[in-house]
Amino acid sequence: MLLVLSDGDLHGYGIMKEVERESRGTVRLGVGSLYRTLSRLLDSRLIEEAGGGADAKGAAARLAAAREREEQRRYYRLSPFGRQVAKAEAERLREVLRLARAKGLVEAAGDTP
Amino acid sequence: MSDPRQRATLDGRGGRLFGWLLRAYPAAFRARFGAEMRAVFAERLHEELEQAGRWGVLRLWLRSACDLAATGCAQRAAAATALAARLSARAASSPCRHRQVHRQGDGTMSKLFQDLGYALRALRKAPGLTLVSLLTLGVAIGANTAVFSIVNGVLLRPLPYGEPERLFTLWERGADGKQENVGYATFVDWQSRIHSLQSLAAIAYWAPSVSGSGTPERLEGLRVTRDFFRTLGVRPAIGRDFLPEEDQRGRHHVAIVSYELWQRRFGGDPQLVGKTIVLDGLTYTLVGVLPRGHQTLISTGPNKPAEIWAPLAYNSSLPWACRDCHHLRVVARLGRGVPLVRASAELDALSRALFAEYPKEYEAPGVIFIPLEEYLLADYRRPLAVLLGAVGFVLAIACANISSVQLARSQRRQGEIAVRTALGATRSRLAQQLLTESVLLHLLGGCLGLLLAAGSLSILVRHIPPNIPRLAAATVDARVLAATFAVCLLTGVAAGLAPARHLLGSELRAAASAAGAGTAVRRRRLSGVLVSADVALALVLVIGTGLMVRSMLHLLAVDVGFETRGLLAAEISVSGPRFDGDAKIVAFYDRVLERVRSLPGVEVAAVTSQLPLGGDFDGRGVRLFDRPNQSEAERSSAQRYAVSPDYLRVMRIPLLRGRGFGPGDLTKTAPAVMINKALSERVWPGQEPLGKRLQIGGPDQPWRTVVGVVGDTRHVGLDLPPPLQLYLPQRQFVDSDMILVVRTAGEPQALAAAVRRAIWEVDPDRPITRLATMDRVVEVSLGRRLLLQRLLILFAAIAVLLAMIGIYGVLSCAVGERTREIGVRMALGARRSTICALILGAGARQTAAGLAAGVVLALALTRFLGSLLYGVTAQDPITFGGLALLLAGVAALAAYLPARRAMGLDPVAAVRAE
Repeated sequence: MLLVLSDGDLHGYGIMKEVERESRGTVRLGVGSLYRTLSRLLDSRLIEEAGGGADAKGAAARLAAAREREEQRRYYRLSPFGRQVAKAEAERLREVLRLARAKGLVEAAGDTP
Repeated sequence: MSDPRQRATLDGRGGRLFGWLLRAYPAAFRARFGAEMRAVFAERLHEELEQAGRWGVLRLWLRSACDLAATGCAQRAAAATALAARLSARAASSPCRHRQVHRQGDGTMSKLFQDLGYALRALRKAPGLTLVSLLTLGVAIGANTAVFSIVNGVLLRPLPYGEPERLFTLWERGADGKQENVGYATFVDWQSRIHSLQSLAAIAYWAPSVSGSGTPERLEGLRVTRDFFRTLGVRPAIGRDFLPEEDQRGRHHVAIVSYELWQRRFGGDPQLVGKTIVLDGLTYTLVGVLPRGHQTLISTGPNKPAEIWAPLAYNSSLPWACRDCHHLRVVARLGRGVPLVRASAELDALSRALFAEYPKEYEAPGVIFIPLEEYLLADYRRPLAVLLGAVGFVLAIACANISSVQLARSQRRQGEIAVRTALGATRSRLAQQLLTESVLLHLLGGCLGLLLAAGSLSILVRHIPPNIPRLAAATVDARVLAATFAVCLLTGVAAGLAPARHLLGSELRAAASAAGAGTAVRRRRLSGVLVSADVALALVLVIGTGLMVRSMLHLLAVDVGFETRGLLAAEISVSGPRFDGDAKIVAFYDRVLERVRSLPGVEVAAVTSQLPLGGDFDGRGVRLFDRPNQSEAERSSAQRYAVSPDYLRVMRIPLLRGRGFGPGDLTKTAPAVMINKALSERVWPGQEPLGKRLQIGGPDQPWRTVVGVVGDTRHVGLDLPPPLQLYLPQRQFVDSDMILVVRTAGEPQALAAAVRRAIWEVDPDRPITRLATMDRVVEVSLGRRLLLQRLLILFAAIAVLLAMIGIYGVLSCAVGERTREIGVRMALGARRSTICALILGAGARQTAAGLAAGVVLALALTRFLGSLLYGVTAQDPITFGGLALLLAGVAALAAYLPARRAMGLDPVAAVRAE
C-alpha cells in the first residue's frame, strides 16, 4: 500500500484499484481490510490525509471539486516518515533477494520478465 | 478519477445492509471511516455490476460481509487490547484493589474478538465447505425454529385471559364417569351456592344468520350468561360488557362482536356501538367490540372461532332450562388464593346433595374440573411433540454432518495447529479457538435458519389445515429467538467438541510420530461413528414417517360406505320469523332442490340434517317397542339423519333390505325409519328388522316402523367404526339447518358457484356455509393427521438427504486420504473390484451399525405415536424392514460415487500424490 501511495495521492477506491492492478489481480482488498490497514498506517503516521500538508493548494482545489460533487472524499498520501519506511523495507527486501540469489534459491535478475 | 455521472450511490436496502455490516466495527472506527467505506463499497458494487452482472454483485456482497466481519472483530480486539493496556497502566499507577479483575475481564473480551476474527478467516478459507455447512445448518435450524414457533404459539404462550391458571371448565359426571354437559338448573345451583369460585358462566352454541345489508352469512357465536367476559378477564375494547339485567328474557337482544367481525362486516365503523344488526330475523343492538388480536378460543369448534356473543337469558320456566337438559358448557374462575381441592370438595358436596334430592335427573354424583388450558389444547400436544422430535432429529443429523466435516478439515489444519503450539499457544487457548469457530458457524447457520423460518412460517401456517387453535398467532417472538440462540450455542459446542478433542489429542502425539498415521485411523473411526449416527437418526425419522404414511394409506382405503367422489355439499340455514312453521321450511328446501336439480351437470340432489364426516353429531336414544322394560343405560344411541327421498341415491349408500323413502313419506303418513346394518345387528341380531317399531328421543315421539336397512357409513372419522345410524323422512322431522348434497356428472367444484346462485335465487337472505366437495370434507376430517404426515415427510426427506451427504462426504474424504494407499495396492496387483469393495465395505460397516442402532431407537420411540397410528402397529415389521432396506440402498448409492473414484485412480499418479 505504501508503494501504491508513493506514486501520488489517492483516495480509498483508488488505492484499492491500484493494489489490484500492481499485484496483477492477485491481491483484492475488501473494504474492511482496506480501511483497517489505512487506520493502522494513519495511527503509526506512515501515511497522512492529504490536505493538511505542504500540498495545500492542490488539496484545496480537490476539496472544492469534491464539494462540487456533493460528497467528501479523503485523499491519502505517504508521509515523509512513511516514505523512509517504504524505502528501508525495499532495501531490506533487495538484500534478502540478493542473498537468495547467491544461494541459488531464485533465478538471477533478468531471467524473469 | 471516476466520472461524477458514473458515481454509484448506496441507498435503500443495500445501504441499510451495509450499515448493519459496518456495526462489526467499534463505533469510533465507524465514525472515522464509515462514510468513506460506504462510498468505496458503492463504487466497487457499481463496477462489479458492470463487469460480472448480478452474480458478481452477490459474490462481492458475500465476500465483503466476511471481510467486514473478520476485520471488524480484529479491530475490536485491537481496541480492547489497547483499552486493557491503558487501564492496566492506570491501575498500576493508582492503588486499585480490583485491578486484577479489570485486566482479566478485558483480556477475555479481547481474546474473544481475536478468536472471532480467526474463526471468520478460517471459515472464509474454505468457502465451499462453509457454504454447504451453513446451508445444512440453516435448513435444520430453520425447520426447528419454524416448528418451535408453532409449538410456542399454540401450546406455550399463556391463554389470552387474565390469570389463566385460575380458569377451569366444569362438567357433570356422566354414568360412564366421563364429563357431561351441564343443565341450566344445576348451573344456577352452582352459581348461587358455591363460594370458592369467584365467578362462573354457562355457554351455549349459537350460529345466527345475519341478513339485511351485505351478503347473508352464518356467524359462529356463543350465547353466554352475564359473567362470561368477567370470568375470563376480558374487557371489550370499544363499548361495554353485558349488563346483569340483559341476561333476562326480553332484554337480551344485545350483542358483542369480535374485532375481526367488526372489521370484516362493519368496515371498522367507529360509531358501531348502539347500531343494530338483524340476526335470525330479530334486531339486536351492538354494545361492544372485543380487543384486537383477542383469540376467541372458547368456541363451537377449533376451526370456528366465535365472532359474536349474546346473553343466554335462560330462566327456569323454559323447557330447555331443566336439570337434565345437558347442553351447557361451564367455565369458572377459582377464587383468589383458593386451592383447587377446596373448590372441588365444595362442589362435590353440593353435587351429592343434589343427587340425593333429584335421583332421576342425575346419572351420577360428582363434578369434573378440567383446567381451561388442558381442555382447549390437550389434543394438540402429542402431534406437536412428534413434530418437534422430528425436527430435533434433523438438527442432530445436521450436527453430526458438521462435526464430520470439521473432523475432515482438521487433517489439513494439523500444520496450522502445530505452528500455533510452537508459537506458544496453550491447549485450552486452542480449544477455545476451535470451539469459537464451531459456535460461530452454528450462529451464522442460525441466522440463516431464522430467515428461512420467518419466511416459511406463514406458508406453513397457510398450508396446514386450520383446525389447530391459535395457529395463526404463531410468530417468531422473543422466546423463539432465545430458543434458537440457545440451540445454536449448544449444537455449536456439541459439534465442535469432537473435532477439537481430536485435533488437540493428535497434536500431542503428532509432535512425536512423523506423519500421524495412527491419528488418521482414529479420526476415520470417529467419522465412521458420526456416519452411523447419521444413518441411525435418519432411520428413526423415516420409520416414524413410514408408519404415519401407512396409517394414512389404510385410512384412505377405508370404505366410508358412500361414494365421496363427484359430490358437492353446502350447508343452508333457515331461521327467523319468516320460517315460523315446518311447512314453510319444507317448502323452501323443496324449491331449492327443484332449482338445483335443473342445473346442467347435476345428476341428483338431496338434503340431510347432518353430513357423515362433516363434524356434526346428533345422537338420539332409541326405545324399542318390543323391549319396553329396557333401562336408560341399556338403550342404544344412534346418529339421526333427517333426509329427503333421493339421499341414498346421491350418496350411493346401498339399500340392503326393504325400501327407501319416496314421495309418499309425507308429514301425515305413517312414521317411517330406515336403520343401518350396525343398528339392525345390535338390537335385532338374527331377526327380521323390517316392520319392527322404535321410538327416537323422548316418550312424546311417535312410534316409527322400520321400512328399510341400509349400509353403514363412517361418521365421526375415518379411523372410527361406523356408529349406529337411523334415517327419518325430512318431512316427518323438520330441521331448520340442512345440508344440500349434490351428485355431479363432472368435477363438483365447478358447480359450486351455480349451486350458490340457485339457492340465492330462491331466497337471497339465506347464508350458505361449508360449500365444499365431499373429498375436501374428508380431507378436513383428517386434518390433524394430514398436517403431521406432510411435515414428517418433508423432515424425513431432509434427514435422508443429509445422511446421504454425510456418508458421501466422509467416504470421499477417506478416498482422498487413502489415495496413496490405494495406488500402492493397485500397483501390487489389487483388482479394481477389490478396491471398490474396500471403500464400499467401510461404508457398509458404518451403515449397518447405524441401521441396527436406528432400529433399536425406533422401537423405543415409535410407541409415542400411539393413537396417531391406524391399521399398523408401532413395531410394524414390514415398515421397519422395508425402510431399513431403502436406507441401506440410499447409503450404498452415496458410497458408490467415492468408490468409483477410487477404482478409477491411476496407480502411478496415486503413488506420486502428496
